[in-house]
Amino acid sequence: MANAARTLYLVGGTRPRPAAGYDSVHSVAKNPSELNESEGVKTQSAELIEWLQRSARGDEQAFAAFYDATSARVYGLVRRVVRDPSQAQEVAQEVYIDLWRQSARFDPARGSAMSWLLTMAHRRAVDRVRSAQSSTDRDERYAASTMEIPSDVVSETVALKLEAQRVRRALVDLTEVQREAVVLTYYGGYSHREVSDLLGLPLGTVKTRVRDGLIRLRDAMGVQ
Amino acid sequence: MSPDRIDLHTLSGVYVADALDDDERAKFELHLEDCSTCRDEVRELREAAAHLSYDVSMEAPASLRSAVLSSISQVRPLPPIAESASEVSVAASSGTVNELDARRRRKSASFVKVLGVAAAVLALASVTLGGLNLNLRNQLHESTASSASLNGLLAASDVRVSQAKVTTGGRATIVSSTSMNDAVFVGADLAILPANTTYQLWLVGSSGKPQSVGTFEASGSGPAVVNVDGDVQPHTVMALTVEPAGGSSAPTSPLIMKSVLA
Repeated sequence: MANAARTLYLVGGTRPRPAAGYDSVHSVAKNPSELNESEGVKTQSAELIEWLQRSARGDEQAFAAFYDATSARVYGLVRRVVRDPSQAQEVAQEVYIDLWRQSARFDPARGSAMSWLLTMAHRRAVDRVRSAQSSTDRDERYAASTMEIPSDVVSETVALKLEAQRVRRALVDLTEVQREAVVLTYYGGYSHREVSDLLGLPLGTVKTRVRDGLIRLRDAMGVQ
Repeated sequence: MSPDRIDLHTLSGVYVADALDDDERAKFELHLEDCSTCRDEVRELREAAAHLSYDVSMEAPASLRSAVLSSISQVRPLPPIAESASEVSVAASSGTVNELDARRRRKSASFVKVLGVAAAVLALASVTLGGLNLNLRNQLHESTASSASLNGLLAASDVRVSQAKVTTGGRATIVSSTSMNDAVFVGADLAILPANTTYQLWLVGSSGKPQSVGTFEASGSGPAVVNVDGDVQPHTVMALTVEPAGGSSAPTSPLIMKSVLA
């Protein structure tokens, strides 16, 4: 179990790649300012807020635009956690319907629209895997989380690819144990107790690694 | 290892990663109300975690888009949360409940009515229910009338409060006691259903056969509260489905919520 888990941080990038590739990518990204979010992404976040505000007034076209701009990240994340494509679709559908209902309650002061949406999506995806959980399917899920997603279904949008590269570079800055803890909890949907069992670590250590890992990611991504 | 006060600050990461158990999450959310440092950290770590989705992004199936866009035309966006107490009381109202056809009702299990909840009960809930009080309070704070049933339940020595997501939107809080043979279902932020369908609540006891509690509608402006009088035994499961208007004699659609009562 512990050995299988050890390889997981690479799976967080959806597919393992040679160490040499990682190193060369890493060397490009020494300067944190290079990691700041691109202008295109910033512009989009203002658009997202506007679409959300129009959705709150019942504007279905604005909501469709919001969906088109965000669905690859939402569906991809839900799919990563839930694994089963039809269940992932159900969860993603619930997320967007809930978003539509709650759109008037979005508060830009409390975070970006994308963070709000992905928080909702992640929570629902985790709820789905936990509610269906027995010790048996936990083991199956564990096995499944070590398998890669076929590359042909990974989004090929250029903007998304660029951002994905930034995330991979940022992940390189995490220690291996931090990456492992973040990947198992965030992508794997495991509770900190499960991670503690899987890795044979005290709960406090798991909490610290997840927090430290996300803090490093925050700093590397230039989150404000 | 139960998180104490000092320990709580270190939970921000596992909270953002949704890796806490329900009771720990409730405790941490209470802590967040008081701790602006943790609130800021959670906001920042959520932004950071959001970036992780780039690396797993995947084109969504076209059927998802069409399902989402056709569903929203039947769902009304909620109004913004009212800021002042007077606005809250104007907006307050409960869900409405239709009793099922009498011949389908079992004599003890199906007394269904709408209940409001008194502020006094909420104060009691805060004392009694530990980490869960915040959510319950949030769900019930718009109601004004009194509820003898909930009051009695909260005083029971074996009171149990469970929460469950409703997969079609919203969440359920269920207060139950086997010694009182009683339970109250509170549905908050439930989706408004199309006119030809209704929510139907079920109890599944040791026989394994779902028994209807009754049907109800979501009002969109307050929690739907359903009193379940009787047949609350150890291991009884409460379940919710969407059924054709008028209800069904047995569930005909997938469960959208289930929770073990005791």
